[in-house]
Amino acid sequence: MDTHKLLRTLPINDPPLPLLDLASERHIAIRDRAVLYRFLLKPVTGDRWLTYFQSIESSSETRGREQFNTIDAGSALLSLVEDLLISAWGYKTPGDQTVSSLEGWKQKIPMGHRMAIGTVLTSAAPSTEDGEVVCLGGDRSVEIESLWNADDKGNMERYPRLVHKFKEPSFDHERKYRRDSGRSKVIGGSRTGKTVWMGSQPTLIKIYDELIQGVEGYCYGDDDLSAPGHIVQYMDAHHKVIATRQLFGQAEV
Amino acid sequence: MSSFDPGRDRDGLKQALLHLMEESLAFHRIQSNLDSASDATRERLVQQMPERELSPAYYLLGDYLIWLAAGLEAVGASLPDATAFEANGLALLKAARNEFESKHPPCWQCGERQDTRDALQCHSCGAEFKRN
Repeated sequence: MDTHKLLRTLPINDPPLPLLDLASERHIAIRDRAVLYRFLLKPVTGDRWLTYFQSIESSSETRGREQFNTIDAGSALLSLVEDLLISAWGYKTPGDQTVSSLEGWKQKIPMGHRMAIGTVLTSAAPSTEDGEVVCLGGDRSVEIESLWNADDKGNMERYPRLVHKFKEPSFDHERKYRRDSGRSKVIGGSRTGKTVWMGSQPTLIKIYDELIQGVEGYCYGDDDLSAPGHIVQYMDAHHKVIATRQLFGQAEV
Repeated sequence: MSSFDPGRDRDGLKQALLHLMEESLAFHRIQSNLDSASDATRERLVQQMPERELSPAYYLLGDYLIWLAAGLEAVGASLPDATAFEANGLALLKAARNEFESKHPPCWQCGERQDTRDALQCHSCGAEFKRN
């Protein structure tokens, strides 16, 4: 018997991570040329996520038989990070002052570091783990994964299975999602101009709030988020978007 | 630079809907010929697909209207809270479909849509068409 093969089939896991605490400030760490830099950030509010989504520039153009899509989230991401930063460690400063005491300190942090922080903030994605949640009673479950906080050693903790349980979406939910995915304006003064997409994230967040029944892997301080109303109130809006989009497949360009 | 809402451009939307129907017909034709086709024939068939000429938004909105009409038909529902775009769009879809079906009548024998209404013989089953 191939014991290695057998072992791979056993449910042996790494020690489970604690629940992802949505109430806490964010501790993010990056390594650049073997130097560890740490950052403390405010939690991202729902309104701040909406501002971020609205600032993403997503457009499409037709050239011959091909469609070219462009997404520029860089400026939106830098603005998000600068709004949230509370303090930073790991940088040399004149007279060993604290980083956050320097004038304009957020802009002094290298752009590559700020972009790396932004990448962590927007790291939520459909789970890449094997297997799927068994659905009972017509409800739908989706799994996402996300980086969240750094541990004591400065390693970012990855939450591989964050479960969102939804009521089955109705025809009307899918209708609103598809319709709002097409919200756009055409720039260029003719029908052949560039399409600028307005984004469907606000619609996805509304649908999430209407359909969510339960989550696994999260808490909000002492609250285990067993009440759907609390999930609606406290869930990270970026996680809402990523989870809800999986209910409908890919309708977006 | 000026911008406009493609959902309010009735002529553009109708053009996109007609194009999507032509694309669907061409795709169906390619699919049915693909198994027996040589590489050169496949390339020629792909090149025969009509080229898109409008901004991408028109086609996504057109796709949405086609999806919406099919969904409403499947569940036998009306749309009491239709937006102006949806109400106008569904009417445009009906007009575009009539135009498309008139241009590509189905074969009386096998139901396959023809390339033109002037065809003398079905390209699929060979049934002959009477000319009036």
